[in-house]
Amino acid sequence: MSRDDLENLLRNHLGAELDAQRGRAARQFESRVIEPMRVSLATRNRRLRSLRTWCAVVSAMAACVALGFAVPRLLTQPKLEIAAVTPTAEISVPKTLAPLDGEKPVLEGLRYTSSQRTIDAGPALLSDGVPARRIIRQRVDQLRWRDPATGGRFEIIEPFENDLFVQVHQQ
Amino acid sequence: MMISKHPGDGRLDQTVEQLVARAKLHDAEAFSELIHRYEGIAMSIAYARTRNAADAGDIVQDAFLKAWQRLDTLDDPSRFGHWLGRMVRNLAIDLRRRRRPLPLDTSIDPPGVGGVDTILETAEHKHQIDHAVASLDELSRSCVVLRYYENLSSKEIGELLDLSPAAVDMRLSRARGHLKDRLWSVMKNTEA
Repeated sequence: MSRDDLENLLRNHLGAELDAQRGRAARQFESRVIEPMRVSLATRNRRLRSLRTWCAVVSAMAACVALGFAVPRLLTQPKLEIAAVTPTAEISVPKTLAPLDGEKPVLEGLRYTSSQRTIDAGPALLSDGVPARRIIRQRVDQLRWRDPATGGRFEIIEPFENDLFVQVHQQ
Repeated sequence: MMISKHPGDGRLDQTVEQLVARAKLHDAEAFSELIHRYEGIAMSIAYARTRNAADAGDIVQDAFLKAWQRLDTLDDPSRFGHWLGRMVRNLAIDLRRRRRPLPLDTSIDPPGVGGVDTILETAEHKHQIDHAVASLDELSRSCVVLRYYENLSSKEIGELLDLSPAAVDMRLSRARGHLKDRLWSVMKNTEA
């Protein structure tokens, strides 16, 4: 008997014995581990989907309730009629000022201009939730003069702005 | 890395270490690939212990489930085969404890009168080979099954069984001599 004969005999014998058992471990792993994992995952996904649906429904209902409260309040707010005013006041200054205590006037050709306007910036809520309207008041002061010594012209422009909240009373 | 003689369908791109790392994160697909690669090895070790193919199949099933559950205790992923082999051997010992010792001599049913084309297909010769393999000591039997069923090299067998490659070769050589003597009559009939 050669070594090859013996080895072939053993290979054939072991293959015939053990090949039939192959695949059992994989099948058992599939049924005992993978399949329950799949079922568990599917159940979890179903629960998540259900939870998401419920969350969406509850959110939609909450949004509807909020709108139900907010819209009538906004619609019934009295409109504040504030005309946008843009007055321009120009104050003429006498070209020559009377000397003060014997001193010569410092500024020549002095001109002072003040422009202002009021803007209705729309509805706003105060910190305590009281409805109000925001009013913005803007003003620009302008001062111009001429230096008689050099003949140069000077100008100062000074802007101002302040906010005003006017409480709105429901009627 | 040891590769089974039944490679996966194009799934050999990942190392054992990578598959073990994935399986530790509960990736069942990665563990399925490990089963695919190591089933033959586990079967060989179990069969060498139990000398019964059906019992070996049962043990391998349980061993892989146990391995899946205890994968966290495996410190060195490259030693997965060795770790699994130890688990298989322990399960085989448990099975043996629960059952009566296996008899070395089994009754031989006479072969059927007709329909038997080759000698290997007869029950008589199957029993003779079983008996001859069973007569080897357990470690030599493991070496023989891992070599002739899984086609593992001496180095790979040594890693699984904690033996040096030279020790594996020596055991295989002795086992072949022993089996040659025991199976002489079978081979004589085969040649005839």
